[in-house]
Amino acid sequence: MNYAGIIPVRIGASTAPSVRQVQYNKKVTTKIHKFSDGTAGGSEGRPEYDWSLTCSCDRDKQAILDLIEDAKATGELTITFDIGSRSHMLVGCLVSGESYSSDNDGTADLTITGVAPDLIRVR
Amino acid sequence: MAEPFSIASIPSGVHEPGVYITLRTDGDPGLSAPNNRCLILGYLASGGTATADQPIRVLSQDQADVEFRSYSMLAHAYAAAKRQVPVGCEIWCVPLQEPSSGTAQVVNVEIVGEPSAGVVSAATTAAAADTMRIKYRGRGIAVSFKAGDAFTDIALAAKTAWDQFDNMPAVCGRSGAALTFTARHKGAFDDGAVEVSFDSKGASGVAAKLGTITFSGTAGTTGSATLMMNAKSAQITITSGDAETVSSTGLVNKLLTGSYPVRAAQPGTPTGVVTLYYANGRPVRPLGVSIALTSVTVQTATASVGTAGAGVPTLTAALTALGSSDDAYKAWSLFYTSTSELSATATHIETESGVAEGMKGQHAIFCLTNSAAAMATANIPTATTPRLDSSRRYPILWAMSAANAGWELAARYAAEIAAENYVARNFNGMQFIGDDSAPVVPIHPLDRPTRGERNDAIGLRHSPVSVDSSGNMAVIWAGTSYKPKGFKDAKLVKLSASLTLDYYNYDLNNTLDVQFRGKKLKANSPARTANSVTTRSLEEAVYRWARRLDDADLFDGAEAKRDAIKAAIVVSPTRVDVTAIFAPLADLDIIAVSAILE
Repeated sequence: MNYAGIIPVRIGASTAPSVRQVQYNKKVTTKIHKFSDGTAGGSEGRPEYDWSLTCSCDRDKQAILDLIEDAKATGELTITFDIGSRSHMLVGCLVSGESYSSDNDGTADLTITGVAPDLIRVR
Repeated sequence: MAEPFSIASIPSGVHEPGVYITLRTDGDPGLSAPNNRCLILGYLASGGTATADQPIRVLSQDQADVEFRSYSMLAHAYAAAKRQVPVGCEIWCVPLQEPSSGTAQVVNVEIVGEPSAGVVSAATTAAAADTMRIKYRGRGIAVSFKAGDAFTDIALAAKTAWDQFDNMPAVCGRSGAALTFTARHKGAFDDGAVEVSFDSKGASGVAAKLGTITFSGTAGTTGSATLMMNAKSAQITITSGDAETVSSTGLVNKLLTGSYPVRAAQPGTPTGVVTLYYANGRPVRPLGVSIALTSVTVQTATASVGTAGAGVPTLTAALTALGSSDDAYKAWSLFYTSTSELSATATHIETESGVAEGMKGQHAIFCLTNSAAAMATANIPTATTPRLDSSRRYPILWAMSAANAGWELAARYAAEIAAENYVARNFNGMQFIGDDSAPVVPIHPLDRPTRGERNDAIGLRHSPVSVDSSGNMAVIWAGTSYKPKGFKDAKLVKLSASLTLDYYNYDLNNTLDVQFRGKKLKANSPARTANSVTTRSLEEAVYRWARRLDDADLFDGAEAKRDAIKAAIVVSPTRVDVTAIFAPLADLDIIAVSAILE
């Protein structure tokens, strides 16, 4: 059995450069309904998604930010993750945060976080 | 390759970078392009400032009146389009010169006495006060007169009233009590119907003469005479040995027995000449009145109902001008219905729909107003070269006996299509809108196509136009001239499917162009930077595009077609071929309920 070791990421059609860590989470609000007759049932809401990309900072420019800006300008920001042979695309992505950090010991990170209303399987 | 793969058919010699989409009806894909422009072709009148054969965007009626003249075909077509869609589409016009050697149509309206029981009147003055209304394509005048007014004075008053308006659709002439209405342009084109009505419905002793039918000679054999009145007809039997007076009497008596688009009378002592009159409140095309004898020898019958227009437009320069531009027009409105001119237009549009031309995505609309029999006989979708039934780009309206000219309705339809935001709209039931300055005249109840005739028209790939349940002129079935090869491409008989495919082409082109323009292509290893892409990202982009359209109800079943989207480098290192599914929604035309009685 082989397991996936990396998750390639694309912004729009372009490979997201310098991404070191990717994460997306699906969140669904669920609720247990407990009835007075002793029975119980469950319900679930519509899922929503959040994501984050942690990138190594290039010396000259952060190309991934340009990609995101271009995608927004041309209509829609999509982020595609390849997990094994399948690909999943977060559509209508919104960027909710952008942060830089450095430990001054050889690592400088750019972390971009956001949310998305939907995830579709594209492959 | 594991899966079947379609290679897009791009003509040789295409080197310019871009997205080229080919629609195939034999297996899956197709092509198109949308915008909100309509293009109206028509004649301009002498004195108009527009340059002939060059498309021009028209922004106001005032501009149209100056460019083409207020009474021209184009100015009236523009008015019709603007009444249909005041805001929402760009209206472009192509002014054409009328055929210099052609003939302008002339129809007659002579003020005469009201006939009585099939006998003409010798009166020359009105017996009572009344108001006469003359409408030409629904535009017209009303003149009142009093008892004792001479018919010549009534005609003079009518001409005076007519001449007060600069934009009347015909030139009014007068000789005594006889008025003539000459079309504003030379040429054989439908110029609508004429209606002459009297408020008293004949009680004032005044009527309007349309023309005559003259029988001559004695019939040598038995046969029949058929008077055609546009969509209606009346037939009489002529027996061998019948004199012309017998035939004329038979025709007059026949028309007295029913409600026909024209009335008839003859002198108390028949002469073989039948006078035809306008019927109150019933628009008629005088030149659509004709008579034919069948199996009758010796005796002849001749109709005198005016002068038919003759001549066709020269399209070469206009089509060349349109072809030299990258601009596309979503819907064209044509005024001509002649086979050779339709063939030239179809040739142009099909060429412009080709891959190398960027697939302009244009539809050409024209409207017939002839009878069901004439429409079936002409069968225009099969008569042209290329045949219109081989393409989905020709919605043919059929508005039998409409008082409006066909090109007025075509202009409205083109404007509506161009302005429509929901590109997949089912145009079934689309109403034609008019007002006093650009009227839409409902077809007279006795002249409307029957359900059977409408069904026949649809079967012949015409879109019937009639009056809907609310009393408005409407498109009954919004189709195209396309003859499908099978179930798979049967959607293309509907205009909406064709427009949707054009939108696919336009939108997919834009979508892919934005994402992939200027990229490098990596074929043998993963893309590492934003500078390059792989075929996989192209497949994803196409699927995302389909999903987005699916969410807007413009695509049917994107998810199920995901795995059919394939991209590969097979033709050249700089070209990626993509197979994709184009799945427009079908129109809901028929709901068939099988009810069980209990």
